Amino acid sequence: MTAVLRARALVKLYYAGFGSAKCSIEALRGIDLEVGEGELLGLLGPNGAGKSTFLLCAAGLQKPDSGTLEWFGTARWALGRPAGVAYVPERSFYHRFLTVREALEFYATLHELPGRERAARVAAVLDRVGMSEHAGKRISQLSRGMLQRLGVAQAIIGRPRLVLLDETLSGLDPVGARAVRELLRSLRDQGVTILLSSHDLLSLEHLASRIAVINAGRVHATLDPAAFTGARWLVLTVDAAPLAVRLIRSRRPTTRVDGDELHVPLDAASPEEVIADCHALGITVRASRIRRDDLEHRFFELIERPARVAEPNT
Amino acid sequence: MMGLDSTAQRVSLVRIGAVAIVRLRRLLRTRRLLLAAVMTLLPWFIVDPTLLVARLSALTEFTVIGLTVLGAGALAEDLDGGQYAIALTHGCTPIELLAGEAATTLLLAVVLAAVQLPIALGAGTVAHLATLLLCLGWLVALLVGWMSIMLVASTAINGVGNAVAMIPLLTIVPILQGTALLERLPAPAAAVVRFGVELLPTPQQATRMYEALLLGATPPRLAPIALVIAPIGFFALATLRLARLEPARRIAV
Repeated sequence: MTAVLRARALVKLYYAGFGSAKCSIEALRGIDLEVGEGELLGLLGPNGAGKSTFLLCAAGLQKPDSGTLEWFGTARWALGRPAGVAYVPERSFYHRFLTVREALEFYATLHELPGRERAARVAAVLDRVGMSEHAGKRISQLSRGMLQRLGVAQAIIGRPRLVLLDETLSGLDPVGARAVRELLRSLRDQGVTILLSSHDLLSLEHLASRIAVINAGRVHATLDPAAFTGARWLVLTVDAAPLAVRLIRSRRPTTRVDGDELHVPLDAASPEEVIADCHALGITVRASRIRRDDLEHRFFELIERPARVAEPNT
Repeated sequence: MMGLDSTAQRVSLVRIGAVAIVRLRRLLRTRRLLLAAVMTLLPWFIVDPTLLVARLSALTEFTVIGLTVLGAGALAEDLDGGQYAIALTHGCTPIELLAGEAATTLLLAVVLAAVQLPIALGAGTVAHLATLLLCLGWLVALLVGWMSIMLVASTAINGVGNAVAMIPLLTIVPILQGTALLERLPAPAAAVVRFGVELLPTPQQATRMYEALLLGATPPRLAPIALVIAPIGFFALATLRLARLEPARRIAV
């Protein structure tokens, strides 16, 4: 798969004030990430993890302090801003005094589309995002859901190869969220490469082909949503794990071990039965918890422990 | 070719025009043009109608105020609000953006000056039309120069602060030029300040050119440079600063 975007050891620092040499925030601390052509890569992480900063760097709107960024295998920041890359910001940064049609015509004109083609492109994009009926409305009158759709509309008006979306699914009502999800799905199906930052785990799980978990400015893991089965596991913290594994595996062969933890599948037994088995085998259980094999549990596992670089989920 | 540097592309008149039209819509729809017109026309009630130089000087001062109302705040709002960053992702370059913004603002300022002209000339007769046209030429040069200072300021000062910052600039020049202040400084420092002030395209510079043309006063040496050459330098400085500025600096964090 051809890499549309490749980040290597990307570092971005924010400084305390004008002319200050003192770094106040280390937003990115060495991001390594590759986005393949035609994939929809989700960016998942807590607030302040560095997702937005990474997207701004990827849009060519912010210059990294070190590391490299390549677009379509050729361009780097040193050469300037990339063509063929569109960006949808988290907040609405559009001219509020324009109507929806006027705003899209403005962005289409920046791409130097001739008059007739421009009008046709604007009409097609309005139809695509389901905003034809609202074309004459001022942007200041739009709801949050409509603003997010406008964001996607301005992004696709120039027919980009890579679309970067920052929290485009956040703050939407269920109807609006579904409309934007459908829109992103159709773009993905058309071969547009998408990098989507979101806190909406369910949407990411259903839309993304891969999910990069970012925390404290680093990529902690890249997950494959297809690998999540939804199965439940009982996680036991035990003494003498190697011995315990041999014993418990004699009864439950699919048990996994991770340090001093045993991961026992709960497909054919209740937690109480598994713990009773352990006691019967003389295994001391110090703690137990239920883990579901889904994105939410995996995400919390990843952000609640020290960083491991590019750890796969399979 | 996809993925190559978009900042290396040629300057596009189409993009400049698109930015200019958006700017025009902003000024019309946000009542800023109305405010500028009021600020420009209202002070004429207190102008002494006897001397043509005085009336041209008033015309200059009021038009510069109108230009400041039209320009400063709105320019910085565009840079602060993130609209500028989004425009860049569509292939617009800093110089195109500045040119579009400046073109509309200047055009409207010239319209404001034209509206005032019948009032300014209404009280008396003009002996030589050519001399008057030369005076108006200096007025336009001043507006271009003032606009270029605003563009530089807009790359450094946030939003409304930019507009407010331009107001002291209107008054600080006469204060700096006053001998009382400069006499307190060591001679070399006073000379540097005087030279720096002389290079600013201010209403005082234009007034001196009117006096030279209409009253036969000695033409000031540096005024033509301040009104014609310096604005090119300020515009270049603004473009350079904007190109180096991270467009996302006010979106991030």
